[in-house]
Amino acid sequence: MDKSPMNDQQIEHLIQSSLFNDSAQVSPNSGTFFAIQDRLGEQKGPGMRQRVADSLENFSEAIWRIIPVSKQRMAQALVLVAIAVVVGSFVAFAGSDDAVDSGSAAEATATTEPITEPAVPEATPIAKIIVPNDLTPFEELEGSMMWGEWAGNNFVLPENSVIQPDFAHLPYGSSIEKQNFMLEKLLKDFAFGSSRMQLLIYAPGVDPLADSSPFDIDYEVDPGGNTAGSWTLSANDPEVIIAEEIAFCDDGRGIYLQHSEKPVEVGETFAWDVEARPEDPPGDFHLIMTAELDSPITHDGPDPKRLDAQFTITEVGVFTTKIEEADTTVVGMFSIDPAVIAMCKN
Amino acid sequence: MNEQREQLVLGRSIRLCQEGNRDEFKAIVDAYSQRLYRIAWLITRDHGLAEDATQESFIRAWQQIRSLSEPWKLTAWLTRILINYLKNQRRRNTVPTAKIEAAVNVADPARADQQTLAAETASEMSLVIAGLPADQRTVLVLRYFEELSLEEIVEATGWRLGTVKSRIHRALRHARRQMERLGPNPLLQSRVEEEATGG
Repeated sequence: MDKSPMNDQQIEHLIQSSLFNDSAQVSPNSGTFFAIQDRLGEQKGPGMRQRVADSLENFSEAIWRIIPVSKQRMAQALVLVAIAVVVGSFVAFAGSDDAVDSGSAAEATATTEPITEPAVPEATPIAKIIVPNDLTPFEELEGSMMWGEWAGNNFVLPENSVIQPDFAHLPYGSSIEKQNFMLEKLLKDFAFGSSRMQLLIYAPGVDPLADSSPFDIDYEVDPGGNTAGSWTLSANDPEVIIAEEIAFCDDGRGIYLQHSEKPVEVGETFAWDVEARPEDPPGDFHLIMTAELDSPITHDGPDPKRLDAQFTITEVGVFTTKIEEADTTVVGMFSIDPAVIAMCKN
Repeated sequence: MNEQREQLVLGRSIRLCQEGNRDEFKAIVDAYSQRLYRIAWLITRDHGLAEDATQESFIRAWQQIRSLSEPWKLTAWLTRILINYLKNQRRRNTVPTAKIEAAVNVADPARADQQTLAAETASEMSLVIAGLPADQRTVLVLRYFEELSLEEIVEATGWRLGTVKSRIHRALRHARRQMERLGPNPLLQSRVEEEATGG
């Protein structure tokens, strides 16, 4: 017998019936609304509160300024992001013995199938992307992976992918080997120029298919719209323990990979916009943090809910992050040197 | 014409509330409490939480009644207050993800043998809905119980249109998969066959 017989209309009908059926079986205790009325009697009424609100409305700037350590907090959050990018990112260029060694180690853990090295024009310095250990902690986490990538104006999967379309994902319960293989294959196949990828690692026991996406991906609103290299993500789900943005960019000298861990506290919400703008030189990108209106994250700059960090690759493996709103420039380095990584972590 | 009259009455009622007339507001509580409570229960699947949410929503509505500039939007306004309250409670982790057991209580398993196939199917769906993440349950309730448009859901939740769409999409997909996992249901099967034959 067909086990997938329902179309959307039937499901919608069934959901509606179920909701009405359930709601008909519940009603509040009779005391509930007496309690409401009692409490209404205790309220001061709309007059006083509204008058206060009206007064405050005229001093909205002042309200922002009394939020404690707001600017500092926002700046700290952003610096954390920058640091996470630094310590989590690896670029190994051809000719680096360290890179080759590390790469071999990473590959040894990853796959049972042969992986074809991407063809790279000789004129371009060859970048060998090393899968950092941070990207594959599935053994420890027993998590699930969900990913997708941009091609042109579409959020698509690679050809011949064994995974399902729609909101791209590996089937829940995929083996660690499969996940590692797919990840490394993607990294290698798509490392040369055009793709960005997001990797979400969920807390154990969370099914990314069954549970809502931790990210609100808005396909309709610029810059979160359906444009390559630009989208809006709101890390708003405490079940996501790591949310990594992975972007590959070729600055003409090599390819860098950046990723960062979710820097938000549970209950705090903000959106990331990772943008590469047409006017930006190759390799530049913007990490824009936009806090939701009800988020405690804020600062007292012109736009208290938004910070724009411009990342610039100044030379191989080195970048600066300029945060105009916080009047701060952070210098970072992509490195595979364990000593440097340890230093950054500290 | 009737609609116009109702709006006038509602407008007058809201104006009285805005002038501080508690009795008038109590009439609104009487008229809307069941509805808000049911929405809250469908989202939380918890009587206590639903009652708290309903109470708090009315208290907030009373406190903010002067900000309601379009009285005919009272229903949407109250719903938004309720949804915001529930969202905030979730952020504080006081609204747990609904447990399937909560829905089982409604379904009353002791009487399962006597249930009709239709009730059984609805009961299965009830379990599925109860197991959804709260955000997805919220959009389902607003869409299929409240029968709000996408734009109205945007207004009620404060989520962006794309977010609302994707949550509905995910919820439907999840519901379908879960129902399929539960296996073929003769009632559904017969409905499918009816539709296939144009019956």
